[in-house]
Amino acid sequence: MEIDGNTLIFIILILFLFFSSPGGNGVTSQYEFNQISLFSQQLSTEYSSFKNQTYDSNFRNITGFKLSYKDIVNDPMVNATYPIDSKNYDQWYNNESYLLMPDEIINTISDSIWNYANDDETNIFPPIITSTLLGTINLKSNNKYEKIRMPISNFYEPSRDFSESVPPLGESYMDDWDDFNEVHNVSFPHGDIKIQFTHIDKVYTNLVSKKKKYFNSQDDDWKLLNVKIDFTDKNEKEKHTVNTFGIYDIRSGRILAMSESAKFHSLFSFPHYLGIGRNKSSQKEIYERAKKLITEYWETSNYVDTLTMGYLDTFYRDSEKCEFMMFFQLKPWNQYSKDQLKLIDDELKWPLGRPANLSHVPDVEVTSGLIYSPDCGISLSTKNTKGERYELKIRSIRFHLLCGIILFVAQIYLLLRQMQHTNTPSSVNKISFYSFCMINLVDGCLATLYFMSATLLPELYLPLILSAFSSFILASIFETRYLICVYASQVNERNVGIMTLLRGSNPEGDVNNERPVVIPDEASISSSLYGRFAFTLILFTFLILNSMSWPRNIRIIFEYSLIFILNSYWWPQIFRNAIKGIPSRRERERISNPTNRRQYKAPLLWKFIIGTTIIRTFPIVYFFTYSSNIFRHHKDIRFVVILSLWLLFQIAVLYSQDILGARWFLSQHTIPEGYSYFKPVSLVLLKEHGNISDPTASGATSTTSDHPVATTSVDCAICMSEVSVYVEELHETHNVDIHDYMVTPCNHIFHTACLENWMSYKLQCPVCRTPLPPS
Amino acid sequence: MSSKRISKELRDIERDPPTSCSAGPVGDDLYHWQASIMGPPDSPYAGGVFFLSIHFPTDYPFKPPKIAFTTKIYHPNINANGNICLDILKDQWSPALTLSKVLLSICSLLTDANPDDPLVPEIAHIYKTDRPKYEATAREWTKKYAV
Amino acid sequence: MSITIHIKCGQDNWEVSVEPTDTIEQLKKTIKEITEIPEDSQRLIYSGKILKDPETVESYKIQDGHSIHLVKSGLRKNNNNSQTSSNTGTPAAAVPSNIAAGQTGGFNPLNDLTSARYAGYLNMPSADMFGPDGGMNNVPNQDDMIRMMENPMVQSQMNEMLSNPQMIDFMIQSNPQLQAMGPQARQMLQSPMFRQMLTNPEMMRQSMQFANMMNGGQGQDPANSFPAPGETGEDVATENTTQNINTTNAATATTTTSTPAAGNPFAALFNPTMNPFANAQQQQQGNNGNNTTPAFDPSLFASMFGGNTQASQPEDNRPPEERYETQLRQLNDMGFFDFDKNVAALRRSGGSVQGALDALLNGSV
Repeated sequence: MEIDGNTLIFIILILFLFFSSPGGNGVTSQYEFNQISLFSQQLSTEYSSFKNQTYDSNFRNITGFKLSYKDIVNDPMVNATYPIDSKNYDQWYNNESYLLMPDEIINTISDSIWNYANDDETNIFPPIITSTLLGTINLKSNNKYEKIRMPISNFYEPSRDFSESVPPLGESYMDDWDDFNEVHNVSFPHGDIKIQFTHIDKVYTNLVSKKKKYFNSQDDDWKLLNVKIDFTDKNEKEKHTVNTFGIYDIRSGRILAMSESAKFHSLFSFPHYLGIGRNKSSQKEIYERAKKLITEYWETSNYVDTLTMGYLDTFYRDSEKCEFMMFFQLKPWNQYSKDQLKLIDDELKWPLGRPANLSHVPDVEVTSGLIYSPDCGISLSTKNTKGERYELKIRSIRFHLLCGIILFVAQIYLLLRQMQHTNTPSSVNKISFYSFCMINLVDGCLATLYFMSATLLPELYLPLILSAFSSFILASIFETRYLICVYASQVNERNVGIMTLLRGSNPEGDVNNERPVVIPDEASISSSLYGRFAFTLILFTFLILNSMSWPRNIRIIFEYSLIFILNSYWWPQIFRNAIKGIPSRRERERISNPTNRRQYKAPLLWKFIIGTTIIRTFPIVYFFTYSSNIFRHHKDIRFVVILSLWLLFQIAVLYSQDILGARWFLSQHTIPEGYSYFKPVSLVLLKEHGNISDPTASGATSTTSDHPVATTSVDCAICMSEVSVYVEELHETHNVDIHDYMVTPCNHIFHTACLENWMSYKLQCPVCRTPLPPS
Repeated sequence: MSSKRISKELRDIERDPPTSCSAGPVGDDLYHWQASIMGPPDSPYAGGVFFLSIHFPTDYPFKPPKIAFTTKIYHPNINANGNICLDILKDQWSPALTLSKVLLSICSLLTDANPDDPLVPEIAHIYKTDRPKYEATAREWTKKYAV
Repeated sequence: MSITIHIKCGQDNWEVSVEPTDTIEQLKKTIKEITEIPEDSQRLIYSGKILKDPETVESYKIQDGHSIHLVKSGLRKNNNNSQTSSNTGTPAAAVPSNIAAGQTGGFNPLNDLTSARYAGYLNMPSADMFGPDGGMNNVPNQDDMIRMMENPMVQSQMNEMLSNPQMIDFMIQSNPQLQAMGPQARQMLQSPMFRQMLTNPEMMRQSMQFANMMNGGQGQDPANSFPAPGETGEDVATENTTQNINTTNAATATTTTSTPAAGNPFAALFNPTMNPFANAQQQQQGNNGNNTTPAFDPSLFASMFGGNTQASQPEDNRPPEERYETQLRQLNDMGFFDFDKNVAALRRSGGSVQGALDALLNGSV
């Protein structure tokens, strides 16, 4: 078999992929293999230590829990390597001598956080709390407490060169690192917090299988959670994200979540820490049940055997951050019985129309919470953080999306009416290209954003795709189609900018430099327009997506100015009207007659103007005034009022143009006039065109006998009958109304009715095919 | 408007028809005409007389007339139903065109086919690759249908 | 009051003055005097129409000063041409249309050919065997037809088709004459003899040539969706047809002798009589012997090969000499030799010899 270069590259690539792709656990070298085995060895040791631990014995060889707060207070530089000589391992009390927290924090937790004792089970808490809660966070103390030193095993470190095969042994302390303090500081006093609860009901049993298995035998009382916390300052300059593992005690509504890392194996500490704020007997019960939960989780997931390099790396990287312990107290849902709660959960999971009254399901709410970092000495508190159940949120988003689709459909309808209204080249010519560009850009962006979110949110795939589809149809089919028409009708125009309009420069200056006449070709226009559209769209979408991560101040300025600019879509049309000199409504009615009525229509339908404005303002009004909107967008009524006034002002100007004529705000003499089809004909022109050799002599006299006055006439190529023209040099022709005929820029003469009729089909001279300016 | 113009055209075409074309209303309906084109002498259609049916739209001359061959003809731009692929009968229509000009254009289309914009790709292919075969077939068809 | 009209022929232009009441024939004569083009090869076109000889100038609304186009047609085909030359000029009428008739019927055998039932037959005949445009608009001419018949694939398909009872049903239904034949038709079509004949290209060629001659003068293709409107078909002459019959008797004779048992099966296919040519020949010979002009009903041939001219009345289709065969023999025996009169009398009496005798004796015929 012959192997050429391409095949070789292909084979090499395949081999490379084959060898470099990690197996189930991602181990690619001897070093990493040793790392993993040391890791699993460490965890196994700790797990057996955890198994042997009882309610009244202290933590033994568990990473991160070898010391207590008291130990640090006594000796800040204490060596945390197990076993510590002076430690008593066979006793347990919930105080700072055993826990990682100072007594002050412990007391706060038992007094004001976990204060629903709920021993008589009068309070009922929701069993399933998948949701995203939003609220505020306050910094309680930053440097008030001692920082617990936590050693990290050296074998976590990645290998420095390939020859290394044995990871280093021993332990080192993170606070020896240079930038330790910068990373481990919360510098703002107030901020926003977002808590995401997700339940862990099932776990993978090994690395290969894709099947998950239930493990929790105490599902009614205890839940394992994944708790993700983001907190930022108000301006979103500083951001902290913690991914933690939590246990939810349904009976008392308590949630304890702790971060995990190479220096803090918090999983084994849950049983003890869940007992804070309880009396001895219930502490013991809670200890046993939590231990059982952890054991079940550990055994079912084959924790030690399913370790991967990815997991190890995450562990190692997370150890650079602060560890957090979080104590949340949920608000009870006392208005429901347990059965009702079950009904609600079932209905949310499999909507069958059970009588659950989902619209009145209350929010999941953390009434009080405390976040404490033992190794950074930070404590934060939060209050009344709440959010909708995830399923309910999805439902409401779906509803909003459907409303959005209705708006799109309404916009499509209006656009179709508008397209119908301007079905002739002349009337399309009066439409502003840029107005529709702005409208199109917004719709196109929405389509792209919808498409992108459809891939991110599988639960909302269908409504999102529907929205994306409708906005895409609107933007790329109807609006772009219309833009192409508009563009094609304006491609040969001399640029009359708004400055020319205001300055009133002499249009004669431009006449001399003849621009090459482009025959509008729809195919080339559409390809270039679609190209521009797609490019702008991608750029714009990236800008918007990028702006999401900008600091809040800049982002808000960007957002406001963007909304403001994009909602100025009627201004280009106003200027277009002024440039084209659309006459006022009364004037239009006056000059309209049955034959050329279509020539004197206002460019935009009022229905379209009002409808489009409402459709486009409605979502903005919703997001800026209704505080619990789906995006959690902040409320800013002032902006909405300003924006509405801005739009109203635009509409008012459009209306005034309709009533008073498009140029009422400009002085009459400053306006460059468009081409006028109505003008006297010179004798030279008449002779040149050869229709009449000698108009004075042969006297193409009017055929009707009761009109004895001699007129001069040429043949109209459209109706093939004579046109009487006004010739300046010939006085006998001066009784001819110059509005009865039209002279094209290429000096062809037609009846007004004939040419206007033709111009409603095409802006092209019937005789020589030169593009015609719209009348 | 359209009937006025059509009768004008009729008058002109009766008085001075183009050399190789002839046209007139089928019956009393001014909007339905028939025409005949004599095959141009320098083309394989020489000697044949081809008949066409013409329907004027009511908004003539702003819309082009609908013209189709009723005689079978072997031509890359004319299909088996007699439809003609000619730009001035479609988007390049201009109201300044008259029926006789259009018929003359069809005549010149017979002499010079446009195989790059064909209506019958098979014939266009033969036209481009095997001109003698095309001419022979065209002649045969002419003999068969148009003589 | 005579009018002046312009005659345009290519670059030439003549002025002719005619009376509005003149016929076109007269006009042509006038033109012949000027241009020396014989009337036969003159084609006059006015207002997009070909002017027909018997019409008058007036009827075409030709007015003073108008122009008429003149086209010389040296290629005007002569009906007396030899058999070979008429091959190219005449579109196939009868035989091909009958086989291709399946394309338009409700049950479409060609559709079936492409379906799974015939999936085993690879190399389906390509569409270009029907002509350059895929044969969708025109029935193939004989050459194509014969070429097609010579294709072994087609032959085997024919075999298959004829052994398919549904196909036979369809053929019978679509042809009124076959319908009239009743069960015999089926028997005949299914007989291996017939099948062998259909698949014998030589046989096909002969019968087609025959059909061609019969149809030659008509120059009109009833199955052609593309009729030339100016074509008049005025020169279809019945006497030519009889001459044709005479000249082709030899050819027919060979056919009949080669298959003496079935006579001419193709004729049988298109006409209920088992052997119409034998009849025709007898008649002809008899007529020749009597030296009288035979009352040859052209519709006989139309019905034989067109298959659809009188399809609505298959009964009347039968020629009188066949319908009244026994009666005519009786009348002959009685001494009434005038065929025309005999037939007329029999027609009037509705086939009763007695009534015919009365009529003949009364002299009312």
